[in-house]
Amino acid sequence: MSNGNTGNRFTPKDFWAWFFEVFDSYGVIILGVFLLIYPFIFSGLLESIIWLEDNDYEGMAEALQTFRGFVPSTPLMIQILIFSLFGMAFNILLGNTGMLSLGHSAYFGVGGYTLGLMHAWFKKGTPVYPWITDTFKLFPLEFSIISAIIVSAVFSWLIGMIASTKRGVYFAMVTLALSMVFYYAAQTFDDLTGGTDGLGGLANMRMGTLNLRVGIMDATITYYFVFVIVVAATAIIWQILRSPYGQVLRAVRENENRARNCGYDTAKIRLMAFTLSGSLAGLAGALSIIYGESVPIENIHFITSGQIVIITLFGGAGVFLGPAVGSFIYWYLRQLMSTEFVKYLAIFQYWEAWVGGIFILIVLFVPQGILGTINNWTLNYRTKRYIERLEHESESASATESEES
Amino acid sequence: MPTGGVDLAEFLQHLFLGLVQGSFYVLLALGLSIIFGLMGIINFGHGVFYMLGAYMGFTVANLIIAPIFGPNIAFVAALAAVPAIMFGIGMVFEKYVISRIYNTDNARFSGVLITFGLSIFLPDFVRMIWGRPGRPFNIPPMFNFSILEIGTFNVSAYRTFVVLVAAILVVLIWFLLFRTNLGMVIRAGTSNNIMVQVLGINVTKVWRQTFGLGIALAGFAGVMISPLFAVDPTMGDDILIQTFIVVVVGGMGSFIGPVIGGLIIGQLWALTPLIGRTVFIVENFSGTMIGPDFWEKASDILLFVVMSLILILRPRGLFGQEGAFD
Amino acid sequence: MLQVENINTFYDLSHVLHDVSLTVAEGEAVAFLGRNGAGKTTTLKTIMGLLTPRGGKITMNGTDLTEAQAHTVSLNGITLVPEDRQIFTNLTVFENLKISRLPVDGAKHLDDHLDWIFSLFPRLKERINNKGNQLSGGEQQMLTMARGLGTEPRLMLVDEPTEGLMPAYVETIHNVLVEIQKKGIALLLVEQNFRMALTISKRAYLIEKGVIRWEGASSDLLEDQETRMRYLGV
Repeated sequence: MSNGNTGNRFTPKDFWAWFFEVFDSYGVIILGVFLLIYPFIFSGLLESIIWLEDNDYEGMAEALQTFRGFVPSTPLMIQILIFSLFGMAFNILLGNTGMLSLGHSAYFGVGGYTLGLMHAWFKKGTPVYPWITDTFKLFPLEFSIISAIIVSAVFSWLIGMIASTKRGVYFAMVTLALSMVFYYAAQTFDDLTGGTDGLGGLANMRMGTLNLRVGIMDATITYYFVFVIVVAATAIIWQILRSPYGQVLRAVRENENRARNCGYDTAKIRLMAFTLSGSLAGLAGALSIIYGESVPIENIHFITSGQIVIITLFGGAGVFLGPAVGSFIYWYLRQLMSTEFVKYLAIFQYWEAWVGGIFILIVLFVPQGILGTINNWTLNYRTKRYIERLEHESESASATESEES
Repeated sequence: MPTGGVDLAEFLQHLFLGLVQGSFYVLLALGLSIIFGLMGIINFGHGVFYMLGAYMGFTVANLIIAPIFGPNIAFVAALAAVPAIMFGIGMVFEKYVISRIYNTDNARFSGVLITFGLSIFLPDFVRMIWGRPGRPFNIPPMFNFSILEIGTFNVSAYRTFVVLVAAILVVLIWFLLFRTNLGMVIRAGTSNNIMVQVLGINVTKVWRQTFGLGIALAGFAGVMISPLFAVDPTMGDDILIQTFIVVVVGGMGSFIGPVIGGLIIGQLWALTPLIGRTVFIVENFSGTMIGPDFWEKASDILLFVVMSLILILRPRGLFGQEGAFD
Repeated sequence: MLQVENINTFYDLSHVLHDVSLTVAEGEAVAFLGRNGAGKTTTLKTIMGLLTPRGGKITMNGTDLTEAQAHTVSLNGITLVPEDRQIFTNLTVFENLKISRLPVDGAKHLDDHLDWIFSLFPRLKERINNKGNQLSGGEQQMLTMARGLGTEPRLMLVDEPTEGLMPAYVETIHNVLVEIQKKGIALLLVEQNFRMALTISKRAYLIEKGVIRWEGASSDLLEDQETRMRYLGV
């Protein structure tokens, strides 16, 4: 049998085979390296423009300047990273457990407000237990972020207890309605939260262990700070989802009754997934206020829940990194529309209308999301190749047989 | 220290305002509930359709008719025209967008997502056409009088009109659902869609009309509320949430649930600020976090507390029955 | 009248019906028998337009109904009496009967129709104002059949009409089926009680795992215990 020869014909050599191979095996590594060096790419661009201008290459400098308008800035990348994490936290529910929560802005917002209030509290100091302030003043940011996770975990557990009496579309409705209590509370207790103006003036955030100052003063440092946390959290989510617990989540999504009959307490599993998702959303919410040094009240409004649903479905709810892709597309498009496109066509200033319209089209025509669709292509392409190979092998086998006879 | 206490006139005034607010809740919750009962879709776009109805009313009344025939006729014309326009818009949206998902894997989720997408799309779309700031919409002059005035208790003619019209509409919807053939088909479809088809009735047509009906009700409520507040692209946000609370409290899929639920939530919404003026609160809690100032603004929060209690104690709501108009 | 040629029906990826063909002539009663899960209900649902076959053809009096939706099929004179008695539980008995007349004549001649229905099912007359969910199982079954008759069918697909009923009701259902047939309405009858089905019908089909295995006269099948044993286990 001459299988060795026939194998050659099917080594990947056309473009798509190559693309899918790279995409599957090295996609994550390429993405990671790209993100790791991103701030240097962006600042390198600015430096080249300055250098070109200094050396009187006006035309090239101008061209590069125009190009720079289409490159996402480092602060935008911070936003993209944070919403990737938020989306992956949200996807623990939607993609893995099959629960559509439309109230995740609550935990995102609570995380942000917790960090903001803790920061203000450390700055002021409390006269009652000065030793607490003294101790934690050494690690203000670390302690605040951990508090943000804990507080949003508590709130998502509470809301989860109430909302999980409902399933399917009712669950979506109830989570949305319940999430708005946080918004109204933020409005009502405006002494504490700043009301509709949001909580501002959170300058001088400092990380004790590395003695780093993060915030609007230094985008690059903030970027790396966020990047490290997002990568760590992503790794944790990845581990959880591939653990036996993750399997059970997907069993609940596929058929809750069957999972229950297998002896799993599905109500508890749903609540756990909800709390986990909520606390990670709280982490994302806490990170989201660091660069801006303020908590806008929109963070806790259901507009933000809408954003994360859109981001997740853009990328693909069934895929682990789907929300990351969705986050990039969403923020990048939004940025382009409001800064570049709007120069040529005024109706691009109404970006919500565009995003909402595109979202409806995605739900109707690309329900798998972008990454999910690419994954399907990969699968289809490989299946096709595999079948071709089987056919070819049986052909050549019969050919050899007829030769022998 | 201020003294507490609520006099009768003040109490009656809030009771009346609660009835007005409740009327809007009833109209919106009925539409939401009928659509859900028949099609299994929770219309997250209900709030923005209400907002769109208000803008349609504004356009018909203030921009087209008022310059020629004056504000009174213009308002009546808007009341008549907007439900028809919104009925058409609802049917078109059902036909070209929602009907595409009926045979997909997860139709109910897709229904939520599409209507949710619409609730993001429409406010900005409205800004694109009518401009960013809200538009004022005055109470038509023919309603500029009070039916009753005792001290601070003032029953304005327009608010009375709102309550009356809402009551008439509730009776009409009841008549439609329980005394007409279309209503019989809608109720039958709520119980079992497939068998309605087996009997030779084209369900898709009924679905389309029902969706249009729900949207028409929302749009009508939008026109009715415009003279009380301004017309604004975000006016649908809060009321959508409140409508959800109404159907959770009243119960989905029944006729009486949204009506009673709407009236209860309306009263809660209006009476909460009075709690802060009672002797008890003023004397014991002034200056604290739950002092009189808190209760002035606590309506929205209290509604959520009530909803949470209902969800824990009666997950189906007060009158909820699994898919039936009882 | 009804011609079903080589239909193949799938639930997602599982292939349920394999090249099923059958005919029902005008006014004829046909028994359609098989074990649980053999594909009887699937066949009826496919004919009714509740499932769409991939391949094959269904015609009624020459009209192609292969891709038609249920309401079109119904307007062409076919109705389904489903096995789990899917009456409208939130409607009264009267409304359940009235709604079936809407597509026929807008319920204009309802009284004449109801006289006939109540002569078949006197029990329903007593319960006319009761809601569907207040009826007993037997009453629900009668209502389902009465509702089906409201559409003035030429062919009634009857799925397990006596399943789980008290003997007295089985008797009633049997009599009504005979009565309906005398009126010239054709029947395609799925029934566990093969003796009853075969006495009512002239012809019979046996289906096993989605394939028609046997067809012939009902009287032959009543005698042929070996075939029955093989395909029905009785």
